[in-house]
Amino acid sequence: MGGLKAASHRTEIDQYAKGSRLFDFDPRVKLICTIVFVVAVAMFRQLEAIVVAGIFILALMIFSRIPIRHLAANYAVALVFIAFAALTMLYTSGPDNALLIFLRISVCVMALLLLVTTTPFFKMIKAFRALHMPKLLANMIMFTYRFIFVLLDEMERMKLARIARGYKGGKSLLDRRAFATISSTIGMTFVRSNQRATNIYDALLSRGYDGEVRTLGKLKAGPRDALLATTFGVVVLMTTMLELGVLQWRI
Amino acid sequence: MEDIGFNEVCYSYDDGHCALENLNFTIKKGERVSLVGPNGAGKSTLLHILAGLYIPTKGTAEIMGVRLTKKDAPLARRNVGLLFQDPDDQIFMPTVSEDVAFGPMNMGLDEQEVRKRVDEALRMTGMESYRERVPHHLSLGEKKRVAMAGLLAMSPGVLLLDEPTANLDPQGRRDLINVLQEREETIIIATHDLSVAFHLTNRVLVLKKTLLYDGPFTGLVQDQDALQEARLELPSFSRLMQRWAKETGKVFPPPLTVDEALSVLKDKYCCRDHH
Repeated sequence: MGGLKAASHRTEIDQYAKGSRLFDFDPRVKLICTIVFVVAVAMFRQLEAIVVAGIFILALMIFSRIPIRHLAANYAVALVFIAFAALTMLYTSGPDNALLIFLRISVCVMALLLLVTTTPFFKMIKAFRALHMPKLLANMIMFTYRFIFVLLDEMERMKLARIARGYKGGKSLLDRRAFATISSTIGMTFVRSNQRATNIYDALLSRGYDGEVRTLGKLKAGPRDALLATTFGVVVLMTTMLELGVLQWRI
Repeated sequence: MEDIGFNEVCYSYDDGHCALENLNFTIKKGERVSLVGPNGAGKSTLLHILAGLYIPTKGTAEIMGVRLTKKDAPLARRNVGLLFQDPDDQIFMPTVSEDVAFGPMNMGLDEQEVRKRVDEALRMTGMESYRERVPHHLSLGEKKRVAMAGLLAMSPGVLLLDEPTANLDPQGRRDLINVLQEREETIIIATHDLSVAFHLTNRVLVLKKTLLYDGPFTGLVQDQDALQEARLELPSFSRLMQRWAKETGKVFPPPLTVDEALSVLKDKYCCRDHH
């Protein structure tokens, strides 16, 4: 439970999106390009194809102007899982396949990171809806994102209340008292979440909500979105040709 | 013309708990009414019924000509705006301007009209410079004003406010009072803060599951039984003036605001000097 911070002090994954060079691109175009890119890279088995794809994504990251430390910090979260997969492959299939899987997953993760750090979350949801994601699912994701910080604030307040009443924490999770305290905290968080969800739904209804979240401003793709899509298309084509041996380049 | 009419309204929750019993009252267009009472009196429940979110389990309720039934509740809700006690419950969108636009967009208005209403609502609440701010980074007072702007942008005929000044600092309280003082809609405020009630409204409903009192404040402040039953406490200057009246034998209508109290003191003190 250590490390919780007030909502106003938390870093959000899209906090640098507005200052990014990729901010003004149509989120639908960015989303489709990213999905196509990730699906293609996920199927690559040739090192050269994966490396070229990786260089492209790194170049885009530099172009985007998102702070490297922000990207690195978010990549580091995925690195644990990537490293685990690579280590497993190392023991079962050897170092070449371990390297392939490490790079392949890393490039996919970096492409997705680039998408989410350069696109405000709510615009992303708008793009999902435009691509026919079910209304209910999109709204659930949106409201979860909006209110997760509120819930984390409540958990932080509960933590401070425990400390103020002399709670020091147990030596381990096997400590019965610590376990009981954490269980109660989790349970109370669920209870409060349920109450808050009811209040939020009442507030939505009172403001005319009918299942659809409408926002100002329509999504509009323009010439530079076409350029971005073309660039992605060319890179995917080239890397696919490298993968299939149509183009030759040996590392 | 009546905006609101309640006739023998009762409300019980699903678990059987009876929150409201035999409520009978009407509220005219443009009236300003306070709803006071102890914790658990049913004030929030009543506000939810007035907002069309709950349907009475017995009796009939009419909101601006719409009878409150399950079928017609969405129609009734269009005419009413409810300010929740916790603004985090009613601020949903990523920026202040998008949140204020949420209601008008749901009303089916065109984008130009929505933008106009958003600009006007932000101006009325003094939040123009917060347009692109992220709501959950704002202070409580700022969030309340954003929530208020969201309601005003919908132009409802009736404004319902659940403890609007709770947890606000004095300046935040003053800012919200200033916004509400200029409004011409029918306003119903549920509050423990009698000084806010005195400032903004001229009629009070004292609620404790049922109506204990319905009338002007001047009658309530003299009804010690109703005050005690409802666990209400007058503002300190009102209590001061009551004790002064008792100890000096002076008779005057109980002052409800600082200005009224000052006026009484000037009048009675000056008169006393002349004797």
